[in-house]
Amino acid sequence: MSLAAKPLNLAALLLCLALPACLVRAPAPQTPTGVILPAPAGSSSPTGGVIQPGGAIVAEPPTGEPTPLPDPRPPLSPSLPRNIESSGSAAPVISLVKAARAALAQGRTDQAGASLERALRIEPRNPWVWQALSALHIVTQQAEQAESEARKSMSLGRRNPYLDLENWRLIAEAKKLRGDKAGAEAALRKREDLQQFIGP
Amino acid sequence: MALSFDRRSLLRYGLITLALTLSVLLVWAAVQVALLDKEIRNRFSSVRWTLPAQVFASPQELYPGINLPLKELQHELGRLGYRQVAALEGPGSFVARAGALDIATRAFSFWDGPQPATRMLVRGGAQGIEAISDLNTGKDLDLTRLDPMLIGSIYPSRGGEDRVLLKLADAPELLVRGLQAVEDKNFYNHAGISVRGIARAMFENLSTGRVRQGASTITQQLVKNFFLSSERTFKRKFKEILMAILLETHYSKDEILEAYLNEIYMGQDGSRAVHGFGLASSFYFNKPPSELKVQELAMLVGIVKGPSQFDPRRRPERVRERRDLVLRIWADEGLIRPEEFEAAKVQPLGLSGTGRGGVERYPAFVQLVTRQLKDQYPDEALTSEGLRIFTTLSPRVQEALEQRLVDDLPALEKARKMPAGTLEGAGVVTSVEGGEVQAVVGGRDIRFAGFNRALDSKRQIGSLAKPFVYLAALMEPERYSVNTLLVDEPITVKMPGSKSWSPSNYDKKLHGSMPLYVALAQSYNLPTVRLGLDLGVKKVQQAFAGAGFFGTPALPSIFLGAVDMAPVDVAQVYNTLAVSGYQTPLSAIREVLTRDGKPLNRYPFKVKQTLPEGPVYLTTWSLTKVLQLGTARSAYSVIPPSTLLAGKTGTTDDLRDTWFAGYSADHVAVIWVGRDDYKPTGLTGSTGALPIWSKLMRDLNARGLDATPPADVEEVLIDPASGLAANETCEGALPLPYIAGYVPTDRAPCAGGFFDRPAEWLQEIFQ
Repeated sequence: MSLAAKPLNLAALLLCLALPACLVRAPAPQTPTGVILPAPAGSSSPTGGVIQPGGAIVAEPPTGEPTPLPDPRPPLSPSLPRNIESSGSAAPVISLVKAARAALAQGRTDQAGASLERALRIEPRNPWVWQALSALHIVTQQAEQAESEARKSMSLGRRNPYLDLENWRLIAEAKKLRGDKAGAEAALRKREDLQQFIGP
Repeated sequence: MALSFDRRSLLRYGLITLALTLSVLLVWAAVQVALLDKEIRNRFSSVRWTLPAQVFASPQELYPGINLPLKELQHELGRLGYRQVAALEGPGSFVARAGALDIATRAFSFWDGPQPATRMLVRGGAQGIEAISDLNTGKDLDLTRLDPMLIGSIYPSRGGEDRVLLKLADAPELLVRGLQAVEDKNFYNHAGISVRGIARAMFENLSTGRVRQGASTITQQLVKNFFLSSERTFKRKFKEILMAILLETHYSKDEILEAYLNEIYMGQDGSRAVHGFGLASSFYFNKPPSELKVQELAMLVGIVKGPSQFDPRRRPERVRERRDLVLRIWADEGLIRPEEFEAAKVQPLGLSGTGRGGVERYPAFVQLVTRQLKDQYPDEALTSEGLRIFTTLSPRVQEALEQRLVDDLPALEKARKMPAGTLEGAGVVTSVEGGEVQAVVGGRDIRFAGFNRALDSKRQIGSLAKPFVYLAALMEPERYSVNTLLVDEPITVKMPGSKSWSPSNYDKKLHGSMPLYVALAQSYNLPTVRLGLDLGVKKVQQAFAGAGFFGTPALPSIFLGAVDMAPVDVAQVYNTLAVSGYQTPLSAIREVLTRDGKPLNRYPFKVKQTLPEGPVYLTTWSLTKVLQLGTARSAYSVIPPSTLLAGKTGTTDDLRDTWFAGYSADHVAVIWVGRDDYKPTGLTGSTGALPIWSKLMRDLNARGLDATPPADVEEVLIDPASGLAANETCEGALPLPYIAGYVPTDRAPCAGGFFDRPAEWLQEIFQ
């Protein structure tokens, strides 16, 4: 059945698809998309273009060193929420996340997962809930899932450094679980950069 | 002497023979009894422990701020069989007032624990729910949920016995006592049979020469039900009596009564046999037995006598007479007060309007659930273990989708002067995040549990494939942006081993060159094929695979949708676009519980980033242009233009299939319209499926997409004439999204670029 479609040529496909960076842009091979810190460097894009056989007019690939763009990171605003309680999330979402924390503390991971999913049905794009789900999957050792959820949280969080501090830690944990030492270290470096940016 | 000897020995031999024969007979009888005993015990325990799996819809969550108009909540209560009353009664009733509902909810055992029955006050209006408070304590409620609707059960296809377990302790007292008053007054005192009853029956039988029914105790009736057969012989009657006595020696009266409540045949629903009072209650009245009124209980007890003879839906008059007779017996026996009797007997039968009482209403969805389960559970576990299956079905979304296909297909036929019944349709709606399937319709006969087009009708998807060609291009930001110019010129593709392929645009015209997003929005074929060829088939296949579909052939014709997919497959790939590339396999099940409410299996959200977020955003952005300026413009005559939606039309060769697939922030919806005989419909995606989709999104009150680009996408003003960076002074400048790092920085003439740049360039040379 299509719902559980079986991957064909999975290895070949995922090599690139799971690491979208290799499809997206040549530089920064170790940072897949979703990586938002520091701001990606880039180059100016085409003024004209080259007509390719087949008809598409495409930009010439950038040559040489890309000119760094100014860091578009907004200045650290004191109004940025530091946790879900101050994030303006709906009251039922906050109580479900609290219930999930309590369940997790007792080792009831299924119960915690059910509460978090119930919260996501209420606010499907709440980055704090995705982060909590990622943290749960670190506990249950579902590393791939945990990493995707942390990245999703980062993406939905729109550059809240307080949120991302934890997301980088979760990504590092997930990488470690998968035996990717270099990846884990890179993620921790991102976290340190962020910590410096935030200050003590 | 010899004679006397002979006579004596003859007597002796006779006695011996007699004794021997008797012993043999006794042994034989004992063996027969033992066999019967074994048979009846097996059957008894299998009844007590054979229960079809019950399938539930997702429960309606209630919390302050939910976008659920009070009117829709009231409708939902109606669907669940809640009664509208003047003053709150027991669980399952509500009072409607201006701007508020008082609801007495039912207790329900959810996955994460039981939720007790409550009485609550819900305030709100057309916008949604504002506040909820507990009527007993006065405290505010953060979050609660209604009991989920029972949408079906998985019963064995052979025999088709369906039942919903009713425990004796949970059965209304009037049902238990009233049943005995009518069927077997002496139930708690006899040994399984009523000697007087049998004597009377025998007398009648002998005098008439026929075996007549009747004079059965509850125990005998239970035995008779075990071996459903209308055969009426003395031998059978004898067997029945014997088994009844055996049953009484093994089991207590309460156990026998409970088995009776669940086993007794109560009616027929197509191939499904309705057994027991638990299912009969929902089948005839769409509510649990605990909420049945006096006259409703009397009707159920009345039809036990012969559900085909007393079929409430086909013979209401006769059933009403029978019901009133039961009420009279109850009044005579003192089970109800005279005023209760008077009040009850003037009531109509009050059958639930649907005819199917909530069960078996959504066969297409239940098929999907069954398939997902069959991979994991043996058939027997599903049909006999009494599993409680909690699904993702949203009755509200399901009904909206059903309504659209039921109403709009005939309207399309009428407008196009087609014979009624020419067109078929199918649809799937998912939740976006979590990939939960909220609704499935497998054909215009929505209650038909046969061929399910949403799951099994694999058809070419036409232009629904195009977004994946463009996505593959946008994953190469160094080569392509949404503004890259594509040319619309004829092209011939040579394919090894087959004829060359010369596609054309749908309107058979050429449109010059255009930005990439316009080519997608207008669904032009030639620029798409050129783009696909530049990229290579493999990259497009990879984009499909990233979205969750692995069956695309390695042929350039896939660029224009020569790939067979069922609506549910399309929902999967569009759902991946809607969740920004974090692929979530579609699922129809949340949890499976054992019959005792113990968690057995969860189906948690599965998320895996399989497509890069930036390019997916650019694709979604381009798909919003399909509705704003492309082939789906007409959608905004139905939907408020402020609601940002993304989607794509699809039409196949000779107008055989018409598709629309698209999404809001909260729903992905796929609609297919075509003919079962593969003949042309004369409809395109824009004229066939799109109007249905648009009205569906309107009915669902779909939430617009979030226009904020992700972190690696920047939106900049672009001068359309030159494709260069513009500023506010440029007339007609458009904000276009680019992958960060690939934003055009050279300024357009209108932004002062044309005049500045050569000068700078000259300066650099001469310096």
